[in-house]
Amino acid sequence: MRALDHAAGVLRALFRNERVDADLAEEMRFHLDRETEANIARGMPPQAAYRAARLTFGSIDAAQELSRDDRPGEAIRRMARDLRFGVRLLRKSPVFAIAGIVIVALGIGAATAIFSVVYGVMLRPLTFQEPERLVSVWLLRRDARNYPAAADAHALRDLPSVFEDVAFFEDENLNLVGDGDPQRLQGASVSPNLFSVLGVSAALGRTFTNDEDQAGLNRVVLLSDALWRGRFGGDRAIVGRQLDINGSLYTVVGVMPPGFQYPSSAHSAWVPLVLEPGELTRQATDNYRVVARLAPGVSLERARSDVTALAERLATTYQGNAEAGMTVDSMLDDAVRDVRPALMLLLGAVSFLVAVACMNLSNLFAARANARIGEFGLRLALGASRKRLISQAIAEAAPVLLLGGVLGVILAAWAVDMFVATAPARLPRAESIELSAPIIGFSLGLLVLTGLAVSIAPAVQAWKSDFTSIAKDGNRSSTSGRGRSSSRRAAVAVQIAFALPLLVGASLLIQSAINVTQVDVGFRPEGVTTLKFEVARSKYPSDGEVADYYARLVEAVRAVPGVASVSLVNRVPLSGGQTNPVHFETASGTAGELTTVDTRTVTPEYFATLGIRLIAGRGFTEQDDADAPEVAIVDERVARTMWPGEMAVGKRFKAPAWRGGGWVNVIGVVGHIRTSGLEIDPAPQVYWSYRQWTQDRMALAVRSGTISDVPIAAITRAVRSVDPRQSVYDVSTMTDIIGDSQAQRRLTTLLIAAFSGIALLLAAVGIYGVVSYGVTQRIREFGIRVALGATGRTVSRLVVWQGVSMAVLGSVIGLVLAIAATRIMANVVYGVAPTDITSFLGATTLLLLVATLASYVPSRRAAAIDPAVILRAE
Amino acid sequence: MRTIATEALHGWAIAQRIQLLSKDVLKVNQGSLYPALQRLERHGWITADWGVSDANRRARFYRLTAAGRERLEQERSEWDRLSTAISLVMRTA
Repeated sequence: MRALDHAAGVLRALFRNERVDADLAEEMRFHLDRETEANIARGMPPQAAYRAARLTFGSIDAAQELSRDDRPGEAIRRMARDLRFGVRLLRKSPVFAIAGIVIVALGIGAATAIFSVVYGVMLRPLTFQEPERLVSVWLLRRDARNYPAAADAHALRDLPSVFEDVAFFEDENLNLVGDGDPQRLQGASVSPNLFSVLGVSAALGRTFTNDEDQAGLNRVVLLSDALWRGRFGGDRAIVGRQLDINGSLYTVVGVMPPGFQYPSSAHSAWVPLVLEPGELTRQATDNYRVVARLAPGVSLERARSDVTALAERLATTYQGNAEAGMTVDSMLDDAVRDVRPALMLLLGAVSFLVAVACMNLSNLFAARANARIGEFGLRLALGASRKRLISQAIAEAAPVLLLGGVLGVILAAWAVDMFVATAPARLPRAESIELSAPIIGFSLGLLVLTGLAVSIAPAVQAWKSDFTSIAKDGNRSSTSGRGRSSSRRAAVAVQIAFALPLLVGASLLIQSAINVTQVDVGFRPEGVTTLKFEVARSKYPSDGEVADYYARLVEAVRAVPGVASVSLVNRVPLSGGQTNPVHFETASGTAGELTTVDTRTVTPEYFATLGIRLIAGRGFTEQDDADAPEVAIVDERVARTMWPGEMAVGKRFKAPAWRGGGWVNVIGVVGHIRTSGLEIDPAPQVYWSYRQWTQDRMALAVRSGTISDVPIAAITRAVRSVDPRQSVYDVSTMTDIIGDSQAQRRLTTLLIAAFSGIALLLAAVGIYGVVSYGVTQRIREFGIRVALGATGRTVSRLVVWQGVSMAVLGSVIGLVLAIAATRIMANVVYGVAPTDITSFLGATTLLLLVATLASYVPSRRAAAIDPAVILRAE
Repeated sequence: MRTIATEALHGWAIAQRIQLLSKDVLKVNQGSLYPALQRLERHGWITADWGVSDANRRARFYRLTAAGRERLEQERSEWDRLSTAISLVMRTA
């Protein structure tokens, strides 16, 4: 209550202030009049009576002041007054105000945006129950992470002291038919305990029961919130309904909550995973992602050492585990592994930018404060208290910091929105990126503290030195005070030092981006449209039926007007691949060492559709079918490395063990292409005929015969004419696939280039400011020099050297910083070494050039000095 | 506060009364009286109203409140104790 009363009193005092002042004035006037009258009554003449009254009363103003100081809310009133004063000062120097606001806004905007992205993607806890106990388990082969097998997951369940529970799953295409067009859903087949491991329950209905992984009980499906709302209109009666998925009827048992996006935001349905009979004895390949919940109190290190021991045991149990290790990663680390280098790079870059901005701001404020140090000294001498000086210094800085801060936050909000909207599709956790209060607070605090620290400095300096020396120094010295100016020069050098690594980084990234666009992909992507589909095995149970269906599809699409060539491949180039170990035949006719090759299944026209060169031998024909001897086409890299100097056609290799392990004849050699992305030089490639190795998931590749791409609608119509229940997905042109694969690189390059541009600009402004200020300070000195015979050129050179010397010092420090900083770019650059000498030299030259230019402009003023004018002004 | 314990007075009268009662020993700057009065008012020990003075002019009259009276009693007994103690000490010493 007391506090409330007090607050009310303050408010009242704030609003009734003038009234109180007026009352007091009237009261005191009345007092004086009475006193005067009393004096007259005592016999004094009126003049003397008034004088005497004034004398006994003392100072009216002092009484007013005393009363005001004492009134509640005075501190606030004074602050408001100082703020008004601050705003007035800024209006008088708009250049300073705008520069300050822009620096603060840019610094806070960039920092807040990037911090928000990094926090949202890398640090924000996953939305599962006790997410720190969730881990991913990987099989390690030659230090590369591979998906474990179901047998491995079951073996992990036998370590109850380490893992509370272990779940596993794989991606699954779910072809949903009924209620409109057939739709392909990105789904996952999951062990029923996945949801209990993650600690998530259904929003509607239930998740899976533990026996639903048994054949016969497994026809149940869980829907995502988005699918439920999108396709089923949020109908709560959905639970219990039967859906036609992959040609079978599945009963909807539940709908997941809106925030549940696992394994990715694209996943919209989950079905139980039914293991094949042989899987637990580990006859099959590695193919499940394993997620586990650690037992309470178990550390990541402990889990790691225990699974390593387990892997050693398993290596002797299962043949497939020979030479394989195992490791455990926290689920969060796992989710962001691919983007970590790029994000760390952005974080580093924005820190450098903020450092430049802080230094710049500090110089800007210091220059201004220096100019007013004499005024502060005077105020102090006239009796202002130290508290008053500081609060005034703060009040003057506050409008710039406040306005800049608000603008910066708006800028950041806009940037974060833009980032999320344009983020590469592969950026994980984009949905958890948002502007959050602690981050705004952090970056705001950073710059505001800088601004305040610098603006208070002159007030502190004023009371430390005595008034006379300030008055002298402020007005009369002919060279600038050494101490103060050297700290400003140091700040400029630091700006250069932090700007240089940014420029080097930008140069490296731009070079990389150019290098990537010049990569020879080995085929002609222009004019090729692709789409994916999965065949329904319930309708076409045998490989032969599937292959016939594929042949009909190809013929139907070939009939679409504008199509020049059409073919099928199980994975389009640049989207990763399937690798398999094979033994190539040696010169002595025996099986050589195990070689991992990229394996693709294609229809005969594939090489023509993609524009891949046939170098030797022949392509596939429809006659290379299940009854014919197994044949394959290898790429030039296989031919060159396996059989150098010999004809590859006619050689043989042994198929993977799980495909029978028989000899396969090489019938042709084609060009090597990029299969996994522009930047990855992939393994040697081996192609199989679609009638000999039939795959369920295929992509249709269509080359247009005209300049424009073949209309998608016409292609899907042709597909549906063969099978109306066939759904297709991921429709894209090859050019777009290449573009998307570069989205992250483009974004990173663009951001770093923008940061380095801003840093360069700030550094230039910083140098200009300091040199220009120096010219003003030393104008008398220059006048004297010219009077004593120095030419304009000499003076000009003196000034330019002042700026350039700062830049040289900064560049030396910056080069050391850059060497250290660009080392983290090793994973990000392409076709250029992180220590690329051209980038380092180029960036340094650019900085020095800009520094020279920024110093040259004020030097013109120094050179044009007329000594007569200067000296007369004395 | 003692000066307005019995009747409401305006500022000048208070100043006169203090001077008179203290036999001119406490001759402070009369101006500093007003901030002091305002402080007392804020504490709620005195209240002030605009009224008409004997010379028929608008003047502000100060009056002691109940809280003020209590406070005055307190201060006075405090002071009495202190001054008795001091005079005792001074005399015996």
